[in-house]
Amino acid sequence: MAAIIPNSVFYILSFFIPMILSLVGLPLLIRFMHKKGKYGIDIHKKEQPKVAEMGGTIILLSVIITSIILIFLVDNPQEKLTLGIFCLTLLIAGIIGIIDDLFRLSGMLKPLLLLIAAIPIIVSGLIVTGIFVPEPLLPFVGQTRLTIVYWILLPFVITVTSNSVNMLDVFNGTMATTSMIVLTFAFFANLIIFELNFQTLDLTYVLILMMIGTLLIFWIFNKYPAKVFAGDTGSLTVGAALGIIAILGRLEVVIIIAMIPFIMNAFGIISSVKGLFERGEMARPTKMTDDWKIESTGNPKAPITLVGLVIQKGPLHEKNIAKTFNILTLVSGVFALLTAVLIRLTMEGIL
Amino acid sequence: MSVLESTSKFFKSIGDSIVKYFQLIPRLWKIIGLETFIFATFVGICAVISEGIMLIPSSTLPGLNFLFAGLKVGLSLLLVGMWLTAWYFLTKRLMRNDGKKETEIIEEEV
Repeated sequence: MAAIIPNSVFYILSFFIPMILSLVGLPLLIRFMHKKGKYGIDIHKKEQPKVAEMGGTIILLSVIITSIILIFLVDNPQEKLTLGIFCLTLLIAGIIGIIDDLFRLSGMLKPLLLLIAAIPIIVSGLIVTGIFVPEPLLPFVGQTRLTIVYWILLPFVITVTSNSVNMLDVFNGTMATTSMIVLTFAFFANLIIFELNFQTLDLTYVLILMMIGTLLIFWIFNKYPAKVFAGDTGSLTVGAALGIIAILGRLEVVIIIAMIPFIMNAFGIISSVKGLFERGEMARPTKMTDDWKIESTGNPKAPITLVGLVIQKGPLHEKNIAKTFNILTLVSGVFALLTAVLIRLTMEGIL
Repeated sequence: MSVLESTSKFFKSIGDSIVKYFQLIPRLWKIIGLETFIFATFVGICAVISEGIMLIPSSTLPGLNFLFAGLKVGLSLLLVGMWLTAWYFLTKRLMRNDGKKETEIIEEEV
């Protein structure tokens, strides 16, 4: 079947199918969640609006449905398997997110459970060769040979990316925009390192476009003032997608660099509270001013967060905090592109 | 509203939002500095691995070759570990001064 479908069509489909699915699914989900009383209070607004929860379910569903459609359309068994791995990894992370949204998992149990999300990639890597290359590309060094170490690190990649996206999903629109920025830079980094050849299908572009497509629509509903929250379902799914794209696309280093603000935020929280805790288990780091800006609570027991650093010089409106996150991710994205250029130059023997 | 007016309004709104983004940058110098440091040290580590650690020779003897390969990986991981530790402590140090003590003092004085 793939012989009659040009590769460019796969790229177009991978972008537009999840977009349409999200566009149809999100309004339905919002209505359903309000009907079932599954909503959260947006505490950063004066009106304290009720916002539908678990919007991430639509992100998860649209990506899974798109992956399944593409599995039927591609001809190559290896490509089918890669799409299957992507689909399964996100499904596991998404189910953990759903359980967390419904029953609240402890801060320690959630990352431990997320280790399971790496099982599909590990098992397929053991059975079939060439699904992923355990040789990350580094600037100046080029292809590394971390054969054993890579396997040990694999489960942590998904856990780290999922949890760090989850930890930064605190304001309207931030998770969607920052993740889209990371994915866009990953797209261009892939273009720099591996180029785009329409003769062969590069699934890294397909996976990135799939995520951007769904996140773009999700952002429209999640941007200030939000009509829906992603919940842990959304943030863990998106985080797992970033992790698995990094592994399958050999963009490990590029994505780590692009995710510097996410990791910085996670480092701050873990170091200050000395462990992994749920948001509800920790003291609140921020409070609202009389004019509904966000300022530090001044509580020494509160976790140290990226928001805390941004509002160091004074309170800031939620919308502006979201913008600062975007700026920081854009800066790290530029560094990710520079990393890609260095990798390319190394591979060509110029460096 | 004419097409010209709506087009100019559209571009003005884009321009305004870009200006708003630039107005926020002075707040972020410290964090951007930390991001730059993280990136620069990472590139530096890669250069050290390439120009130093990769110069450790390979051996034709299987046992010795395994030892050398292990040494290469071990030293590289040590550098990456040092990079992550420096990143962690700098983040911690930078975020420690998020006005907590100052706020407390002001509240006490009031």
